[in-house]
Amino acid sequence: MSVAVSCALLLWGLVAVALAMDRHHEQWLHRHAGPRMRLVLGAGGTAALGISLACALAGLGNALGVLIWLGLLTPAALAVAGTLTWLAPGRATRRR
Amino acid sequence: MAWLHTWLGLLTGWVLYFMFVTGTAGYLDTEIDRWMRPELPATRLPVPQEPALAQARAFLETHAADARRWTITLPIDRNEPHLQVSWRGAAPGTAYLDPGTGQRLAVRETGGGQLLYQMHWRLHYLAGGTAEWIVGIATLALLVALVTGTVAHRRLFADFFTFRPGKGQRSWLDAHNLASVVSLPFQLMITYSGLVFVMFSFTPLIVATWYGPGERGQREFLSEVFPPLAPAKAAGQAAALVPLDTVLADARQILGGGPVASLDIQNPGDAQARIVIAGSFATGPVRTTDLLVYDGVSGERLLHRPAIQSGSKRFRDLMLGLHEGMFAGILLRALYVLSGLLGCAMIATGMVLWTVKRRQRIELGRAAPHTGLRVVERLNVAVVVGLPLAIGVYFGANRLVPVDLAARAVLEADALFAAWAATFIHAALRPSAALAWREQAGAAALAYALLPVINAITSERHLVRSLATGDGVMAGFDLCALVLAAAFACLARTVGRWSADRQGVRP
Repeated sequence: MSVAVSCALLLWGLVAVALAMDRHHEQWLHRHAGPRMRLVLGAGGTAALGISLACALAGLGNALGVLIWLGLLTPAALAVAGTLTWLAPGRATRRR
Repeated sequence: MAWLHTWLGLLTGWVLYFMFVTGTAGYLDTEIDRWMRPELPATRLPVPQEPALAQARAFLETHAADARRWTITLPIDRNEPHLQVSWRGAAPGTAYLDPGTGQRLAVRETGGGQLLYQMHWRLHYLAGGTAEWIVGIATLALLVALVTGTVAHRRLFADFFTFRPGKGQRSWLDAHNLASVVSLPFQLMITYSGLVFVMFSFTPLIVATWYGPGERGQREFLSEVFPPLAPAKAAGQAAALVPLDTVLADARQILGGGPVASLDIQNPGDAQARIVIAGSFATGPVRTTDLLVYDGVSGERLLHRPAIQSGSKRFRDLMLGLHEGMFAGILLRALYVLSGLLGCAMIATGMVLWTVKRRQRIELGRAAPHTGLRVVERLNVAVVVGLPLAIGVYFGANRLVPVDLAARAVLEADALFAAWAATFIHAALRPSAALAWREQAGAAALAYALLPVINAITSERHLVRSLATGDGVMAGFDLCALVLAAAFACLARTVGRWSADRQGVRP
């Protein structure tokens, strides 16, 4: 149960962190994110990631919790990157 | 930093790719073992230990009474799903037993998944010491490459989710970054812990400083780190072996309910018999267990070496345990495999990126074509797709080499490397690297697609039956083979489209 919650929060947190980046925000929602919006998304996403880690630790114990959470980060980040690449309607713009 | 990353990667990339592919397969060693021994039944764990142990003892007493040493491995978990006995002496041997009846299971001779796992650091044909140095240097280079790569990748967080396909060199760089960054914790852990494996051979001078130079110092050091367990010379006097149930019961009590994994019986039937009992090494990330030594005649406990002895040894056991992942259940094992595959992708995309970058420079007229680039382009094909193709041939050979042929396990392994050698020749001879990519990816797709078919023809355990009987391991292997076949078919198609595009652009 806590692993499922951890997974959901992990995904949610990563999506928020991605949307906190202007390039991905535009790609997904077709508009620029204001500085306040970016701050809220970034802080919210980071908090979700923290709670997700805490859930994994609580459910699986410290040793396995850390390992499985770090492991889950990989497919979750790939899923977000894949969604942005192939499912988001906007094209990625390169910003320097 | 970037130049160091590039050249270390180029020089060690092929060895590292081999280590990552075979090492990733190693996370599924037991499952591959089972597929490569289709005679073995699916195990239903837990298996009651007392009757299994009695059957093992009865078998060894009838078939290996004169052996110097017996080893009994009890079926306890995913890592050890079968009752296995082995004996050493004048006529050494090993056997799988049915834990219920004690019947020896007729099993084909094969290296199995264990062989793939072991060639991950033994590099198969090479001598132990040589392989260890090659693997160690490559691992050290990878650690440096990971760190320099992270430093050189200035936009690590900004590009965390970025992949821009269809943009040539930029896409390869994105793929290389994405594969590395999302699995970075694993890559750092696996590389660092890999170095811990070779630390005794890699840092002989530290030992020499304290224990004196040469072999003697090394031996003294090792016997202090790993003290021998109450060894005993055979007395040459016959004495009956103690009933193993009493020893098992005592050991179980000390292991605190944990399973007894193996019994190592030295000098069985002698007055100086010793029984060494080990618990499971896979109960947690720290790869260690209590060891117990019993007098084999009286059954008296002579020694109890606890699992944890010192902080530094515990750290080493943690590193080895994390690297091998024996404790990992299904979820964590799947994540290990995914991270391993991303490691393979990280290396492969890095190698391809090196060539794409230089090829692009040539096409823009900024540089002249050179032999080095052509050599790397061709080598990349034979390493990146040729190796998985050769492993597919290894699996196929397991089913096609006659079961009763002498030394068939050697033949299977030779088939792997012969097929791999053939992919190098093929890659060198084709008119273009793109064509070689396409043909080898196609061949790999065909090889993996054929595996379930060959399995269905040559064994009793075809996919439909495995699915119907709920035999997850056999079914899982066949299904994975089909997924790999689809992946290689996609690769072949994509490469085909690219080369067609490029020909369209060319005058």
